Amino acid sequence: MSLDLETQLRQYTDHIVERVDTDATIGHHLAPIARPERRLPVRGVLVALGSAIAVLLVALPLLISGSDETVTPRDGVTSTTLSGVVPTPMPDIGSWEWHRIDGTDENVPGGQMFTVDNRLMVVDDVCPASPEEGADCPPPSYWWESPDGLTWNREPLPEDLAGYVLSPIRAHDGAWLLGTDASGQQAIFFHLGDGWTRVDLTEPLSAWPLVATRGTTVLVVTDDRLVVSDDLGVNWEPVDVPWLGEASAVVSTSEGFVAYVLSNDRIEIWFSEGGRSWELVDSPAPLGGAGVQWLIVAGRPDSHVVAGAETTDTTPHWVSDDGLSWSRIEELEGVFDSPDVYLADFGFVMMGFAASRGSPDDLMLVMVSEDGSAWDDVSDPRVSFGPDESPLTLAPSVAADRVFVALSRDNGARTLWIGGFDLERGN
Amino acid sequence: MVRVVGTHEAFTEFVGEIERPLSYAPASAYGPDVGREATADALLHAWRNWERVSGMENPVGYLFRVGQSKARRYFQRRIVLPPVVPDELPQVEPALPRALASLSMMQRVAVVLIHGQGYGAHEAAALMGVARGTARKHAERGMAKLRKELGVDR
Repeated sequence: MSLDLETQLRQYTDHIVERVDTDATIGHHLAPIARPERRLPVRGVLVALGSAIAVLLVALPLLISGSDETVTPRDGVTSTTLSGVVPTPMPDIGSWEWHRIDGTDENVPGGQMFTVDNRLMVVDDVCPASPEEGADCPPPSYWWESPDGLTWNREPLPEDLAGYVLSPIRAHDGAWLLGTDASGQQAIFFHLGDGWTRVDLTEPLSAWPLVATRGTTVLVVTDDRLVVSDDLGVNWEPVDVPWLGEASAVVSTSEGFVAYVLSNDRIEIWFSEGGRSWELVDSPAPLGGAGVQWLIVAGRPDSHVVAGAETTDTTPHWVSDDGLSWSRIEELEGVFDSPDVYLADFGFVMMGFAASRGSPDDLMLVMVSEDGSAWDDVSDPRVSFGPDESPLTLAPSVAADRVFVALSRDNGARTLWIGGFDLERGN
Repeated sequence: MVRVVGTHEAFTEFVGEIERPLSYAPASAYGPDVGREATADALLHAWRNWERVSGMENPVGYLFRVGQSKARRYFQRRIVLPPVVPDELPQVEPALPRALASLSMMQRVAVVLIHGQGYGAHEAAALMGVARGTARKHAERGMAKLRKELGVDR
């Protein structure tokens, strides 16, 4: 190659951005309310937005509550705490083990993984790693459910389910998925095992919603909308969103709900006892620092943990007893790139890519902590992906006291890693 | 620094001005597929909160962070950078996507903005929402790693 590295970078990044067809994406999000007959260029969308905004202002209060097919409550509705997690003491770290399960598409799913009520759920891969130029990602076709990662049941998803808005939700009678149809005009509350029900929307959902559950109250936050159910999803009520920024995380605590909002230059913390009336908490730093690129929060009634990428290669994280006042603790220096934090029976699990990637095998790092203040690395060097191999999708999740990492490669090979304390005895 | 106020004409102008730089960051951070969704979501967020966003000192930096927040909710837990097709990019090293993917996210974004697109450290820092020295440090480390990975010295 005769070109210098910077010129190569310029040519290559130009090539990348040409593929970022924002026009089509925005057009897809807005087409149902603007001009559904064709794809809209950005400027056309913006003009359409101007005319659509008046419609939206009128229609927004009808969101969700305009259900034309409601869910029938069942007997045995039970209260639940956040993710149903009951804290138990963390066992000796030396007893941590990993098991690897290789399989086919039929018994080891490798798509996006969720946990609802300690059941493991996996939805089909949405996009191939190297889609043809201009090709849309197909919607997911199946979901799998497993109590332990070893045995799986596969069921079809609604044919018109769109792939890009899908979230697990704990509803009145168990696990549900919240999605939309391909037009974005219908919300689909998909009850696992019993089919699905639909709720007409007056505005497309355009982002993955945040969901938090406290007792029988369920809070769903999506973009600039907020809906609350007091009966585990039977009835929904729209609530005026009090904040102006982007809600980055929502958790429930022993006192109520806490929302973390990306403001101009800091993280705002909002509190609500029941999800309807919110107040801005005058919380001092550390969460208020500029340069917080993103925020993830996992919490249970007696302890919380936050991780956020700041301005260096470190991964600062904080702990809190109530979700409102935070203390910054030791940094996991140079460890993670884009980690996520999960709740487990024994405490917290943090998973993400190793920040020092570039080694022959990139590594999925897994760390565990009882209270968020000290972390143990339980990564297995075999849970990795080599750049020379076919690209893969990582789908981490946690259920009860087990950590699951599903890997699916483009060549169809699928692997599931199960980690936990003393697995042999536990199984 | 982009500062605009007004109605949808101003917003259109704003988008025309920032769409491309706003696209570079999430596309290089997460790949074009997730980057596309994140950029679109960030622009929609800007429209819905236009009055507030238009008054910000650094609206692009804020929208970059919004895009990051959105991107983290999408399905893919991988960085998929498109391969170098020799017919399209005959003078680009085929190993470049892999080398880029091996950088940390912030290094990748800084390298693409500063060395790939010729942004000044100040502009890149504003977009990334970090200090200028931090953006420069990410870019330097990223370039050093790229050169090592690709076995080049310039």
